[in-house]
Amino acid sequence: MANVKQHKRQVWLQSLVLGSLFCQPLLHAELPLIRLNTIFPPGSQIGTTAEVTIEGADLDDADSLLFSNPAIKSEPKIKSGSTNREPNKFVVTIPSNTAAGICDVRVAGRFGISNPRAFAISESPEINEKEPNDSFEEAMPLEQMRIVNGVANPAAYDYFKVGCTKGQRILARCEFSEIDSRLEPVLFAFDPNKNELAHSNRLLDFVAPETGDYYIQLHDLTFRGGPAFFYRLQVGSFPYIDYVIPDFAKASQTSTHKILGRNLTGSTKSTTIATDGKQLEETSVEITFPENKFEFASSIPFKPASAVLEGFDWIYRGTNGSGPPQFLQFSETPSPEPVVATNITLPCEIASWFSPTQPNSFSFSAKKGAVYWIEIFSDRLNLPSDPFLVVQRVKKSDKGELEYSDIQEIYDADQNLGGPTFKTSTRDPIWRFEVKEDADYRLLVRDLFNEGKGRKSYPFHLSIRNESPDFELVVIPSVPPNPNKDAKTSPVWSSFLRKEDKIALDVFAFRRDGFNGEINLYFEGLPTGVTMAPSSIPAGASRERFILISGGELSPFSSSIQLIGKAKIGDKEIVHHSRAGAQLWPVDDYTKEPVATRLARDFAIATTAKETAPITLDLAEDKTVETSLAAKVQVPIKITRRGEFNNPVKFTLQTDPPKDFEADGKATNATAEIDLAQLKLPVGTHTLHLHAQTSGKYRRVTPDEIKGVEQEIKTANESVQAAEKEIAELNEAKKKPDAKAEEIESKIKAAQAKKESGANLVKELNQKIQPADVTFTVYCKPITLKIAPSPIELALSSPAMSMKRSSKAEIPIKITRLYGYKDPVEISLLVPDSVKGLSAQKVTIPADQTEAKLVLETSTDVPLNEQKFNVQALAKLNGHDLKTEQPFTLTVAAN
Amino acid sequence: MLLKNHILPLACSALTALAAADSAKIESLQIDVPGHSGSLQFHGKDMRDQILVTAKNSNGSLEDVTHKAKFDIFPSGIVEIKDGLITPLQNGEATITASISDGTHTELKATVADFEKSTPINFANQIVPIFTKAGCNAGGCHGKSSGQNGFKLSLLGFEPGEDYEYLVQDARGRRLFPAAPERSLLLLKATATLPHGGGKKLDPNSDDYRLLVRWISQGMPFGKESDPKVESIEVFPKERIMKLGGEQQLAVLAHYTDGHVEDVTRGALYEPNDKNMARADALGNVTTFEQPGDVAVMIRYQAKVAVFRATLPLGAPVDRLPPAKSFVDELVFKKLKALGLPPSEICDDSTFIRRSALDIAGRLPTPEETKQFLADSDSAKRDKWIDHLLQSPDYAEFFANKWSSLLRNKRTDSAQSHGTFAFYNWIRDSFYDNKPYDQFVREIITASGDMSENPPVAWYRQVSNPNTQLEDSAQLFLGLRLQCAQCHHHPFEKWSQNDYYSLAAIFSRVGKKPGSQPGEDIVFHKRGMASAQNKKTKKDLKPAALGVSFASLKAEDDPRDAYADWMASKDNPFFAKSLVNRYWKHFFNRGLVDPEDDMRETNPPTNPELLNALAKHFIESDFDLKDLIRIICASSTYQLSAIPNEHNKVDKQHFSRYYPKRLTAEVLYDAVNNLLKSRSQFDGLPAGIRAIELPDNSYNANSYFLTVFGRPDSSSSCECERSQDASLAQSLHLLNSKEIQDKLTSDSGRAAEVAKSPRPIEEELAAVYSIAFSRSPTPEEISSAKSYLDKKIASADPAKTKPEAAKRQAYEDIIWALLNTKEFLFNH
Repeated sequence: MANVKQHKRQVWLQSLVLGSLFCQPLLHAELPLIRLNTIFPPGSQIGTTAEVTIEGADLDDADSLLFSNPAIKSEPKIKSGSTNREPNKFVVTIPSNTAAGICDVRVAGRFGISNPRAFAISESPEINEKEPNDSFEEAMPLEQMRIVNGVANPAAYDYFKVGCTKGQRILARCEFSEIDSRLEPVLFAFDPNKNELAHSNRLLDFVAPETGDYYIQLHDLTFRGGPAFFYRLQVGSFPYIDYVIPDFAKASQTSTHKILGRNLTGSTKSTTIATDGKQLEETSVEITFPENKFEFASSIPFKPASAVLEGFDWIYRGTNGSGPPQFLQFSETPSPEPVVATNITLPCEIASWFSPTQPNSFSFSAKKGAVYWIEIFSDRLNLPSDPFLVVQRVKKSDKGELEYSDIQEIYDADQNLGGPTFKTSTRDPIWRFEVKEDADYRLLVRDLFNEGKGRKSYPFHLSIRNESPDFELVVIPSVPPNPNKDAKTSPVWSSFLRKEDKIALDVFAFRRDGFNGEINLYFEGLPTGVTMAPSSIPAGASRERFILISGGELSPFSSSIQLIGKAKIGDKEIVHHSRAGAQLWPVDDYTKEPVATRLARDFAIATTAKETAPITLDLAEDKTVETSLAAKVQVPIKITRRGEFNNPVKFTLQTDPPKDFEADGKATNATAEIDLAQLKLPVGTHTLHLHAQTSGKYRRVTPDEIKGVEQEIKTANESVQAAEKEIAELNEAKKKPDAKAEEIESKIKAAQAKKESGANLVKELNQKIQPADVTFTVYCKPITLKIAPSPIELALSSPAMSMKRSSKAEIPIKITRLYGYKDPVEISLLVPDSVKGLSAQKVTIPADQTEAKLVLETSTDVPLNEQKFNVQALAKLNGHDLKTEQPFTLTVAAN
Repeated sequence: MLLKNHILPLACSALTALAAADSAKIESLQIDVPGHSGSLQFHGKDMRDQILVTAKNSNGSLEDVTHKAKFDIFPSGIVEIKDGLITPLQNGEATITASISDGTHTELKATVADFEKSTPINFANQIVPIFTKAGCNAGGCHGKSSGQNGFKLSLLGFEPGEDYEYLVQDARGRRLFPAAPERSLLLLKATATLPHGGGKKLDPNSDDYRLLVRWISQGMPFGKESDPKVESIEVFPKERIMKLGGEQQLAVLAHYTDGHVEDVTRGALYEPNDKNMARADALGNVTTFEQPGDVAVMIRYQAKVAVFRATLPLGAPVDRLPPAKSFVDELVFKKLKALGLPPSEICDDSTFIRRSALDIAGRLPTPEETKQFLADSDSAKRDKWIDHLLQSPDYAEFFANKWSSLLRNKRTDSAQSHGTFAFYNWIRDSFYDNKPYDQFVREIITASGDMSENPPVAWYRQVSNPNTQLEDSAQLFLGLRLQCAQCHHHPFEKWSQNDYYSLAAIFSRVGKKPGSQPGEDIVFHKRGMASAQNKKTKKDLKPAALGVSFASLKAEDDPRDAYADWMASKDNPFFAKSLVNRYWKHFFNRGLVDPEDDMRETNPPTNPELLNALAKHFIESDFDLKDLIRIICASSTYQLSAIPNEHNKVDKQHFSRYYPKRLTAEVLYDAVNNLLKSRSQFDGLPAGIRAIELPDNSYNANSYFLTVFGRPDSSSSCECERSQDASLAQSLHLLNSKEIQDKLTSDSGRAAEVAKSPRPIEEELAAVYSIAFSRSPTPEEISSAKSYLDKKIASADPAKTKPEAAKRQAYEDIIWALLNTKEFLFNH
């Protein structure tokens, strides 16, 4: 087993060198884009310098690591005795004043800046797993408190051996989802006689019954494994926090909080039993909440819906070490209500526990006309609960008994803006309570996952607040669509611009408390030469796509940038920094495999000056396209082709339904035809996105670089030949009678390794200069389409006139023809049926003409008062009747 | 309670007497007509009554002589008796004298009054039972849901209203012809006057035929809504100690809602639960065969059932009994004594260690364990060994394997592995932690949330709708098969469709929504008042558990909690019994009630007192599963030898010996690997993982071994899905399959290892025998093996086969032979 495992490890290391694509689903080959699958070890101790190895895709010239915690520095690892760097290896320095927690790291290289990957910063010494450790006999010795960074291999176990003292409460904590691993661990603890002591899927907790070596066994739930199944395991009597109650308080204030956990310094035994059945300890601490700077960089891998949270990471420190970071939320009220409160005064915030056996009940009075937003925070705090609310009206019956009638059941907020690949929904309920009458009310709170005797109990945070509209934003790089429209792939993506390029970003607006207004957007730190279109999320919209556009002059750039949203809410201008989202692993079929996403700790883009986009799409006329309902408009598209990209271009206009059209190979222009007779677009201004897919031959190096690569190939070939020669000589030497066989064998092995390494390099370099087939997506600047109700404008020479009974009068009509409309227009007077004695024959303004007269006739019995009518112009377009009206006032006087 | 209070005292006294029954003399006769006391009084011409003549022997035993007795009636013409059935002929009074060949006789007075009166016919009470008795409305005939050849009846006549419609109104009434009733299609077909696929079902001279004619001639009355309905039926006698090869006439009375009673012996159906022990004819006469034990005869009339229980003692002397270690032994031995069924001896240590390891931990003992155990002189070593096994992960894994299948932890798509692994681990950990059984069941029944966080939610993936949820939960946790009651009244039980749908209502508020993994729905309780509609009556029913109403449930309450509370209540009549019976079967290869998940009044336990005592003990232990296993396995009963003595070979239900059973597919697979020193390789799992640790059914597809030896596919909650039968395919697989041959001849296998060993042959054989059988080879076995080895080596052609290779081949042959012995393949 050990040999098999070692072999697997070698294969993995080779793939690192080659820049493996194996973690990406079998997609079409897009243009290269750097992606970071793993960084190992996935963390390091504060105050140390560690060597890390990265693995991913398109890692060409990957020369820097960028951490969301700017204190962390890194540089490429240089081969010993050489000035050359070791591919994909870096030396990371964590200054001693760095705060513990989890940050994001990205790698930057020739093909952009990668997706983020979590990187842990610890206060404990660390070590890497040593193979083989697949059995009790091979268990890797591990000191208490030391963190081991390991990788689970497929269909195998990892064993560790830790010395423990009788009576110690030993915890074995495994970090996996916190650091983006695909591992779902199953952990076992065994005593020195290899008897099972404890099992868990996250935290082992046992009291050592005797002094001796204890064993920890770890494997993936379904025995998957490989580089993506990394973990960090710590064993010892360190503190662990289960809950902080309340887990929120007002910013910039100091408040007292109850800490429930294990191995807590100076604690007492709690009556609370943890969800794993262990008795917890409790203690109280004073926590000073910092100022709310609306920055979001928690160590917790929050789901996208948690973007609305505002808070900070807090770390418990005991005499025996520190606990994992806890996220504490900023509250809106000065101090939380007592946990046991059942009679409450609105508005308020409550920290409590779900009661499995009966609903938590909160009674309050409310006045007619008041508006409150009722919201639970639990699922978004990563708790495995499903909060459910019922608002009831309380009345007293004639007999004086309380009677309850339901006003509203509130299940999940369930607003999924991102579809199956970036779910933004939450199980937390949110509801607007508009009080209809002065009365007593009751709020029932339940956890639908944990109802009934013996079920687990989790804390929740209930907020009942006055309506305070607001918003939060999340931005993610848009993933190019798969040319196979039936495919359910979801690759990991990042934002990288070549010259003359366009890429797409998706921005999600989490609107709070009914805020529905427009949100203006801009980037801080956007590199020179890059612009964005459009620049706002329209009123009412919760998701918008933006195109980043690069010009012909670009400087290399790889850094985090900040998207800012600005909106006017009431009379205030509210500004928010956008959060970022990230997909963690590529998925072949999202109907069968979950797409793991989380909030990222920053958002980054990269630009390159080395390459120009193979194809650039532009609107031939960079202006708003104006037209009317039912019209057909043609929008000319300019195609700029470079290199060997002369294949047909397949366009998709992102309408509902999407419209596909195609430009021939070598064509330099195309036309997007928009048929408003088919589309259900209302009057107003719309942003229509357009992208296209095409294929061609792509080289990973520029023509200028080819010669250099060829030289590298030559050198590599020479090293292969030298190694071959050395092997031949060594084989000859081995035949000599006095040959030291073992020594020679060792040299032969080393020479073979050199040969193999050189051959691999030759292969890799050859791949660089050989053109490869790619099918890729290009974006165009969105089309801004302004739709009018009609292709004509109607004007009356006067909006009012007077006439007598039994008379005739003319209303001069003038129309303005728009968007090239030439057809006849029918003019009529819209007289309500209730008005008798007034008529006007329809008149038609002939094609290409603009004027007509509408003749009004009154009878003898027409009412003698002011009448208000509409004059209507009817234009027929593509089979649709488009009507325009103008008001007209007629005063009828007696003869 | 009925069984406990009535049958056992009777059995104990009478069985003892019956030991010498054959030599007893008849002292007196007694003539009984159930439903009548003193004399027999007929009112009207339609009454019929079954007569029972019982002989009382000198030793106190009772013997039915109804069909041996001669009946003299004076004056004649008032009544007549045929096959024990008395029929009135005219008004008057007569004396019936019953006598047997030795002259013993007894008398009964019979009076017939109002003979001219005929009772109005009620379709449900009088006509429908004719169809049931004749088999017309059986599931294989017109009673199936689609009917037969265009004519449909409700199954077993459970829906008289529908039957009336089918007969009288359907097909424009062409089946019945009131103007000439005998020409009715119904009768012409039933008497086979016209061609009838079902053959002749009615004799034109029978009472039933005449009744049908009369009913048709009266214009096919349905009866009035106020007419009495059958409330219950009663059989006489209820139990009887019978001789092997004896007979007993039964009489069946129907009690009606208006209080009156009618003899329905001829209208009732009779079905023994063990056809190897007894048969019952259409007249209600039960004949026993030569197998001692208990047999029950189910009597069914309309929707009601009753049971006649017969005990058939062997009557052998039971003068040596192993020590009774607990109530288990006391009650088993009590029964054996009563039956005259002497138990086998206590098995030897080798047999015990192997048997218990296989039954508790699903594995063979290691040679080291065997050696240590055999050398141990501690008198409590067996108890300690049981504890050792129960504390091991092997126990948890073996029982997780059993329960994983019953809980339908099935993978039908590769994406489901996440849930199946999580559920398996949860089951395994539950057993390892010895989670109380009621809590284990509660966590499954009331599972809510996401599978990742709460794995028992996975139960709801395969058991996906309220009907299967109620059916599986009832079968698995209550031992009740309720499936039939979905469409009609349960044919063997009292459960109605209302019972069924009230139980379904418990699951009516189970909500589902997409979970974190595709294909793993979240389960939650949808707030609201639970109810389910009776498919037939369209009536909405509130949740109730088999007659126990959950009336106080509010919209907030999850009825599943009330269901779990009801199950776990100490007076639940099903929950604990079902589990102890299931586990009893696990260890003894036969349940006290068998099949173990078909517990009903009409399928009574063979030792009700023991079943009750086990259930009581289980409840008092707070549903402690390890304790239950401990008390079963520590009993002398469990430790009896499988080798029968001269008397108990025929015993199949009273546990007078251990009933050998073939190893289950997974256990056998692991045992084979163990013996052959080979490692399993299942896709995606660590090499060498044991088959009993497989989390779900998906590995069956790639393992012919597991499939052919009957590993279940987790498609149902029935233990019967696991096959422990033997088949030719199994034998062939073990004898000559490539899989076994490869393992046998592997360079790293047992044969290669043994052949290479420098140790003496005796030691190597002892090691192999220890693995396979947990015992040492006998001198004959050693001699035989040595002789084979010598012969094989000597006969090998040195030019083709080296002596070392010949030796290895010889060991391969020897181990192959051991592998194919019953001693290896069976737990015994």
